[in-house]
Amino acid sequence: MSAILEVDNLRKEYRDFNLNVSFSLERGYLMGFIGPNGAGKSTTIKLIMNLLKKDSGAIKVFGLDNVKNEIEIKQRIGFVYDQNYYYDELTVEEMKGIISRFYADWDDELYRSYLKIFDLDPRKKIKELSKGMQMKFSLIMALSHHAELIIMDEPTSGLDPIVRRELLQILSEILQNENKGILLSTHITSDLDKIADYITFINQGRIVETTTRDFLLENYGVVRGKKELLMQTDKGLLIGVKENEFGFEALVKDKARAREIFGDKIIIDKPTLEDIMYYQIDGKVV
Amino acid sequence: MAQLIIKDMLLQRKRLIYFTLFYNVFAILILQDFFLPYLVAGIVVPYIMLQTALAYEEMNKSEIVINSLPVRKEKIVLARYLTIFIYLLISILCYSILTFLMNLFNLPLAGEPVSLAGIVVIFVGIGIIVSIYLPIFFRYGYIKGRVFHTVFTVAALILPTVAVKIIGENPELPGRFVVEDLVGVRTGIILLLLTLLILTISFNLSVWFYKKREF
Repeated sequence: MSAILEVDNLRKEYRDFNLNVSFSLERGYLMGFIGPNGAGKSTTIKLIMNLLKKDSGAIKVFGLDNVKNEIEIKQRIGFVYDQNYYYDELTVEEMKGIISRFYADWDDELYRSYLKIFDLDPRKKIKELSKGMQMKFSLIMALSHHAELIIMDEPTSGLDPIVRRELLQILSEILQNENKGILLSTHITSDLDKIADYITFINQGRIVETTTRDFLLENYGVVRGKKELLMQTDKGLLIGVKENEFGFEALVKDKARAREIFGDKIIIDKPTLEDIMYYQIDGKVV
Repeated sequence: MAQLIIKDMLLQRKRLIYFTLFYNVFAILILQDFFLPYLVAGIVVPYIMLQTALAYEEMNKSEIVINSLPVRKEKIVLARYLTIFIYLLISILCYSILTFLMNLFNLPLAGEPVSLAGIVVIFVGIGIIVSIYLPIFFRYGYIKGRVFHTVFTVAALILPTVAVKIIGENPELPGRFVVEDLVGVRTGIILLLLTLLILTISFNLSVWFYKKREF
């Protein structure tokens, strides 16, 4: 199946930050776009949405150039922002009235069904909604025009666990339709442990890893062992080594290779996405 | 594009009525002896409403939402230009109703009705202000564009005072005659065409700037 989103050698330079990323997302999948604050997630997403101007590289959405075909692409994208940018003086219904007319495929029946699912009162002003409710409203706006690609910039930050679960449940249901794709940027990686198909990990403006979640969780490992073992390792095998008085712990990309080298002298645990992010950002490589 | 205009009207619905009414009553009561109050109704009020709309947009950072929608930059810009002329229509309508009622009841402070020459002066005045301000806004955004706003506000405060002084020193030259004398039919048409040309150039400049803006 063709890629719904292709980012190729995308560059954006600032005085103190350079972005240079490549990745792609196939239809029918959810990609978690993870990285610490300031890694370049929002910049990349804004470049995809043409809210920022790229210096070079290519962004194709539905196989179309994101600048030349901006309007056609935006008809088919649902965008969820990292905070409320809607007019807080307007009611939910008034805001919907404005937004809906821009979309050829707006589905009012679908909109009303999401209002019910999320228990959102359309007569309430946006400023009267809680942060969770504002995020739900933003999600409803993104979903009610049958968007094929849903791009979400840190949608779960600041939400309580219940709302986050509801949101993730909805996203899983959307992906029942194999024609759609979701790019979800977050630094709360636990949200992705269950639902992401692909993970793209960005740090300091560079892609550290872009692969399937299963590949990451099956091949990476958190190893623990005695300090003297650090002398026998292959160069570059251990990532983010943390030493303490009892020994060391580190991340390995290839746990089979680690087992081959160290045998039973080490303990290897299955990592979470947070472990993978944490060790790669914070520690030294041995 | 109509949605963008409706959005601005919706956002300001209460203020639009209160402010327009307040400034028009103020203009009729305070300025009628010295200057043409409908110039305030036609130029100052729409400009204030535009500033209020932009400030509200800035407060919500809603340009991100607008620019994420499937709408061309040209339409976003054009909506801004058209909106100010809708404010103008509302304000002039409000002013005309007020003066009509005051005249109907023979109130001592009845306002000066808007003349054809007055409409030309208003169109030229607001057209030039918008033509200067909006490209600055689309290039630099609301906050940086405040410099122009400050200059305009100071000018709006000083110019009527200067005009009042001139008229006070030359009682044979009431304000209304200044405008009526300035705008004959031919001059009026030339001024209108020139203003339309300036507005067109300004619009294209605004689109060019806005396409380069980052959010």
